[in-house]
Amino acid sequence: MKNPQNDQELLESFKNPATKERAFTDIIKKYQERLYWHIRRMVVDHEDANDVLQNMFIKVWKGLENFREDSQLYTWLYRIGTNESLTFLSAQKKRHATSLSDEENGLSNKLKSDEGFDANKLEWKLQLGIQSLPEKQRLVFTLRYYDEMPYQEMSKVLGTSEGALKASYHHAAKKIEDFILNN
Amino acid sequence: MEKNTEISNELKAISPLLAEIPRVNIQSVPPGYFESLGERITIYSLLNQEETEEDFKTIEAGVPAGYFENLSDSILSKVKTIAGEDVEEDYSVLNSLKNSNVFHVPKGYFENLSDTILSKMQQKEKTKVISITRKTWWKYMAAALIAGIMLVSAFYLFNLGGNNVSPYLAAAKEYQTSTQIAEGIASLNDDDIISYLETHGNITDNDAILNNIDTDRLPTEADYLFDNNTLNNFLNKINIDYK
Repeated sequence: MKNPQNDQELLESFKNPATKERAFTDIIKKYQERLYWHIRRMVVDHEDANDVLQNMFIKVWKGLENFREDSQLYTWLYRIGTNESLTFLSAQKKRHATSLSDEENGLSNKLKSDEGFDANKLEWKLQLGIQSLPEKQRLVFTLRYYDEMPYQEMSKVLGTSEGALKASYHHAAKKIEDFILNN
Repeated sequence: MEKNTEISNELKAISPLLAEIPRVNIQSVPPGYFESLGERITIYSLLNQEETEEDFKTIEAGVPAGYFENLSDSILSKVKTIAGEDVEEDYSVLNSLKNSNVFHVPKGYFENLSDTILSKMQQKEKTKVISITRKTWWKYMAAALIAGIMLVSAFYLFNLGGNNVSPYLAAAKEYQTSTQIAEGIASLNDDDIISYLETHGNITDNDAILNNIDTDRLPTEADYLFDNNTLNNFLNKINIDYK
């Protein structure tokens, strides 16, 4: 296993100036892929995901000393990653002064510009369906579908009740199904 | 990867069509991308914009080779740059001074420090101050308001003199000392105070409200993004009515 240390050990090491950098590096390595893909599913483009991920970890460095260990590290990291992704998308929207639907079309267009894109393949239709969702539903769907996150954890990440998340996931799945059947 | 059965069944119930779609990541990178080490990309890869951009230009989709392997070093170097630390600078003079300590510490200080702190903490625990909570602060405000009105009324009435004794004078005479005032306030129940404030009171003391709200528990910016009812929920939670 690449990262045998558990979160508690990593946090302890981070508090020690002598091992702080090593611990931070280990935290990044432990969570980088999961967070990268979580962010990338939101922003679609690799370079955007890279910017968001790096900014996110810089904030983690600054905030980790004050991290309250009553919440799980990975939940906290997902929350920061989510906030950073939403902030990025919001800034992008303002920059381009586009409407919500235009922005969503923009993300779909980014998908379509991928060299492997095939409109006839179900997998790509699924991706387009996901990108057609409003931001919050997209978050809920991808966290559940790809990250297999329990509603209880998701509730901590998104600050929404479990009931609302279940409803949101249900609506999202139905909308994607409709999208696939009608496109 | 095997799907979590519970999540898989849930999706099957909502949409059998979606449940049948293979959960592959179509934006994933070619095999070996994550494992292969990008030796050419050093710790300063992201600081060296020209090289980085050149590397990224060659890849239109997916993740550049070695991206994840070097990510932590790249972020760490950025953090250092932001913090004003330059890892390449020679701090040999400072390093040589690192182990010398000009400050004097009483003998045995560190050995007993934890005991001293623990003992102080225990003392503080015994003399713990009970703070005014959000739920009770308005009672104290109301009591102070009523006490103030009583004192002012008494002052005016006793200084007016004359034979025209208003009904208030008789009442005010009952509250001439602080003990009498305290007893008078104690005899009021919550309903009387609320009723008085509803007809006469106007709580507009923003400082008092702000001082009694724990700002650490205020919703974050993101909470408002996620839930339109965030403000309502927060106000309900702290038990403040608004109209």
